[in-house]
Amino acid sequence: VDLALTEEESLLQATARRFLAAECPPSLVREYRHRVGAELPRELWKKIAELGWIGLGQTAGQQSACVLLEELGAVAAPLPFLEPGVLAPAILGMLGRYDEYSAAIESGALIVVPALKEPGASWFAAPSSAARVARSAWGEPRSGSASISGVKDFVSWAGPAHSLLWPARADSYHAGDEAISWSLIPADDPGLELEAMETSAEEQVFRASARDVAPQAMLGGSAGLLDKVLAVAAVAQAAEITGLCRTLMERTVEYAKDRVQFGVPIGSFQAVQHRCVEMATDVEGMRLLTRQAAWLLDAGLSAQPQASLAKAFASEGARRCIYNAHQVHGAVGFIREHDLYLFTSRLRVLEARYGDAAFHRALAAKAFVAYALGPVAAGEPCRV
Amino acid sequence: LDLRFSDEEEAYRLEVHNFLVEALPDWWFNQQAESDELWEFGRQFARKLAARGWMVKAWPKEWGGLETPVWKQIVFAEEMAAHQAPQDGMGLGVGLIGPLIMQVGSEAQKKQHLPGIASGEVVWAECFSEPNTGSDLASLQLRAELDGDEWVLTGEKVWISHGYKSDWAIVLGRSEPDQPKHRGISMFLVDFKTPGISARRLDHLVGSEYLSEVHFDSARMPASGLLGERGKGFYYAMSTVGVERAVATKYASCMHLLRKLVRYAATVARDGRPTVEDPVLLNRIAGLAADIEISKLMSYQGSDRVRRGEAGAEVSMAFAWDTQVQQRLQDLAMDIVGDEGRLLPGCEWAPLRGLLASRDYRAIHATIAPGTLEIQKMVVATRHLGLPR
Repeated sequence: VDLALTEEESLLQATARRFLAAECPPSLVREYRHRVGAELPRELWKKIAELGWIGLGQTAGQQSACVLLEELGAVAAPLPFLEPGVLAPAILGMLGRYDEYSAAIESGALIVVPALKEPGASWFAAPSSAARVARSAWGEPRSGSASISGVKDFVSWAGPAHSLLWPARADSYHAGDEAISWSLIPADDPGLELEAMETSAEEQVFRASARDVAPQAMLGGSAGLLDKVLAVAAVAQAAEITGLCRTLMERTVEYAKDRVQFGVPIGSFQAVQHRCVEMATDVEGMRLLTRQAAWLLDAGLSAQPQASLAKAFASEGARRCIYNAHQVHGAVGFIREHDLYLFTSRLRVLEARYGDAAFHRALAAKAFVAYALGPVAAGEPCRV
Repeated sequence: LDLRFSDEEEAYRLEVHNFLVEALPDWWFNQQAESDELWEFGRQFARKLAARGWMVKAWPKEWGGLETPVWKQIVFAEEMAAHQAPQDGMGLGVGLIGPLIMQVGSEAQKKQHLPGIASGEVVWAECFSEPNTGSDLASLQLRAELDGDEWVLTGEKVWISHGYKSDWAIVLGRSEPDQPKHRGISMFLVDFKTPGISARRLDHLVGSEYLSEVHFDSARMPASGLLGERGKGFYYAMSTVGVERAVATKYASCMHLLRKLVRYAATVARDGRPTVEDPVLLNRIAGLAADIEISKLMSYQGSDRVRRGEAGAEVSMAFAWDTQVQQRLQDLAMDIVGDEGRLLPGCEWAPLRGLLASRDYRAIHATIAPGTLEIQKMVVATRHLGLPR
């Protein structure tokens, strides 16, 4: 057992912290708000590609990706990183197709974002979106005849993306996810319509509606794949939330030291101290659960219930951190000139993204009950 | 990160597990000593541990220890907790007082006291709190006066775990009344058989603690009873309080109980369906699973940092978290089991052998001893986050 970051992870963390402090100031974060459908910050995107961050989850593992996501969260980076940098490479990897795209993706030239959630359905529900393949009289698929139709919501950074990674139902005989086939579809296809979804975080998310779009590539699929995608997405999102909450906590502690009322810093009041301690404890809890789940993913072990526990706790802890940060900051936290809302508004949408606390608790409970009712192994009576 | 235990550690886990299965009779289940008979069983169990060298396994070999590495100690503690093995009257001597004597005691004191702790024969108590001194330890008033070559102790100590069952105690007394309050306190090693010392058991809601009050009525003891230097007692005490928090491994028994509760919930029904399928309870079960996992990881992280010599105030964070989790788990347990959860051990209709009813006040007590939740949070706020006092 070893809880410390590896030397590589420590170096990555230090580099990321230094780099982002210089290259991703709050002014850049502000610039990309109110600009739905914006170009991405090209300079920054190019630099993180040069640093080797894109696709790092595939090359160095999810633990390294989580180190980066925490740092990117800590500056509320206006970057399409989680989706094209971590999640899409992971899905392509699970489909056994990452090698074909890795060079283009890792250089930053090819931006692929997953399109997962359908309107009115929960995250990771088996899609109703359809993949149709015209077949010959003998049942052979006709080459070049496939088409994708359907609607996906909350597709992050679909605007600057080149391709959408789109799960669809390939046949109507199976209800489960063995019938799901993944496709890459071109973002500039005339049959694909992108509509900005204006969220309270003023971020780059879109509804993508496809009508008979010819995919660039049919990538196949396999039973259980969606659950694996879910685990990676939950852990990655929990890591980003951890970073956002960390900054909230640090800024709140600083504010409590500086702000003087009744002749003393408000941070000397026990009630204020306890809010700060709750924030620090929440951040620690999120980070530990997220690291544990990422380690399980990297070790190729079953990551449930730990992945869902991490996202459920991060979503709930984010709420407590939002309230605590705003409470301690008081009135000043509500003016837009203050940076606080850059973090709290982002957290408010990420709480729900890739499954909220109730969703992930239900999943985790299922896995935990199965474990608890399972046989008791000699010598290990106390593990999740 | 690596959360796997090594093959050697897993083999050790199995060895401890097998020992505990052997040493604990079927009627033993999470019964902390609430009667003289159970206390006596605990003493015998301590001797069995001592015979294997496990009583003071973390100690240096010079004093009968095995120098067991940290992760093996954790494996051991997890198994003890999961089996609800008796630990009454062992922790203080082994974990706090022995190491303190090794650190600041004289050679004569080491020779006199360490073997008795290692063999499990001598039970030690910790006499810190007083009727008017709780969280603010430096305000204590028990008088310690040097009279010729004897120390004379006069005053009252309270909330002394298993005080009236103890043989010896470390006692904090004010020896330098003219010094600032933190620097006027000394620590003494005191034989409880000394004339003038009387311990009385308090009728306490957490019976297993054998909580006592102890009166010192001009109790005279040799000058050699002073531990370390005069006026440094408060700082010695603070160093033991830190250790007391680091050794908390409640997550293991909590996870064990959560698993038992799920198993129980699969055997009972409410509104015509198995309780284990109730979505509201499932939601809370997942919440507790996350809470307990965090307890475990915080504890591992604390131990890892102790091992690297980097431990800080985050130990208080882990302790504060852990104690609140115990309370949330108790609430969930009572909601799963319902009215029957209130039936006491010994009642034939009590599920889980009355475990839950016996835990009730222990859960409430968790955020009070050995340092209140508010004090733990204050430590995190001021030492970890750097907020002003």
